[in-house]
Amino acid sequence: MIQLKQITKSFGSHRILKGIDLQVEDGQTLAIIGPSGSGKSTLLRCLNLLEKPDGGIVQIGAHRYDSSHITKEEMLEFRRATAMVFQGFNLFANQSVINNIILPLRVRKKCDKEKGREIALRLLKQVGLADKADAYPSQLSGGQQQRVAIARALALQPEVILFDEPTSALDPELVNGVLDVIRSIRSETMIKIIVTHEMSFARDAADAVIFLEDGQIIEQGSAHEVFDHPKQERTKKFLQNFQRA
Amino acid sequence: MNTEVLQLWKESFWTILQPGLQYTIPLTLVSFGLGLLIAILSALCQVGNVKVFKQIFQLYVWIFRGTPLLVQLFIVFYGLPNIGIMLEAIPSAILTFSLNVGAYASETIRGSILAVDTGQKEAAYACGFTYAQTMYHIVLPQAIKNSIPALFNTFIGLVKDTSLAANITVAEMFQVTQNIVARTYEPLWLYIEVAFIYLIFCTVLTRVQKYIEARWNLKEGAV
Repeated sequence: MIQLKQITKSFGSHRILKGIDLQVEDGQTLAIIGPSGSGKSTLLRCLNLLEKPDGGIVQIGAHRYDSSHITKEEMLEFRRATAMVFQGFNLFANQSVINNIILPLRVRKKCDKEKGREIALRLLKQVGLADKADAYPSQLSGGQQQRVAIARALALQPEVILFDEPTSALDPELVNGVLDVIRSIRSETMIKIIVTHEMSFARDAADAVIFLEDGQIIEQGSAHEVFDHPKQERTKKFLQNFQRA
Repeated sequence: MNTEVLQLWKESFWTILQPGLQYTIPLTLVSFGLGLLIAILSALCQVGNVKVFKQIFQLYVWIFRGTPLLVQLFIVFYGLPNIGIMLEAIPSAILTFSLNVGAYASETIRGSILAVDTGQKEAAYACGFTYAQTMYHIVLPQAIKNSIPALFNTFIGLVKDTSLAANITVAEMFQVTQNIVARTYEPLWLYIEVAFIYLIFCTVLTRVQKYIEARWNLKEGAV
């Protein structure tokens, strides 16, 4: 379970997050939607401490931190409960595809080479890229890179996977392949949190949805509630833009 | 060009090349290797904001980039004995060349580290790497790769700068050439000859650089 209490974050005088409270149950998929600049990505990055919140408490499973005082060890431990898939893929450019998956396993889980290889190959097969194991990231399309990035995240068996606009940097024709891979992740316990502009994907893949604007949660509920019966005017207006498109 | 010149070249070629193989090349390789180590350490301390060391390395780079190499050689070889530090000519040369090259390469590597896409670092952190693991596995290998052209500039510069060691009694190529000139009074043809040998050394290095770049790009793809 993930629980956030009163998360705040400012960049200079600009307040990005204005006290976020949130709870996600094990095994659930949460979609975070909202206009650009609403703080979606920042919220996600606070969960693995790529951004350090100014205030508030975050709990993931047994790991918990209070952002007002957090040690380096806590930070590391916390990150190790999570994995992230980035908008820009961010595969390690100096490592082959398979080593992109093996290296974190070896560094973080102290797993041996053989075991790592086995896990990596199984996951590459799962995302349909077993034949690219020895290629380098720059030799793959964006869609392929993102699927490798998902495999890398899955290999770590985190308690939560954070997806930061995973399809926004892709050519339209490659989007579905990546979304299918995300949909195919089956886990009883792993939590998926997805920042996305793909409304139809959010509608059918997410258990819960939050609509974020100006650093605040404007509306939250099940996908059905938020998409089909939004209560707030602002949410209705936002969703209309997508329906027209 | 007459046969006398050819004869002169033929006679002096091995005499000049031999100290090249014996001093110029080892001096260059050892100094560059040590310089590179200093440079990596200096760059890491500066990028990583390591207290005290950062300031020390900044001071070091400032001094060694801001003063002439020849003056540095003189201070080490002729000056330090005044305060009781006596170094032989070759150790003096290695020490000075290493520190000098290290200062330049430090800035090259520091720049390359800063130029590595932040996404690479974030991905490593998100995977649970520590700062040191991120640097070692991800950032530094990419930074070094990107600094190859600039580092070879420094490397090639060093090959030629070793000729300055002639001024502190190291019997390298240029020193030997000067000796032959003193005997034969043929400065033009002999200095051209030694220049040509430096040119060969540097040409080989240029080839090595191209080879390394090509291999790397073949493997990882040009980024």
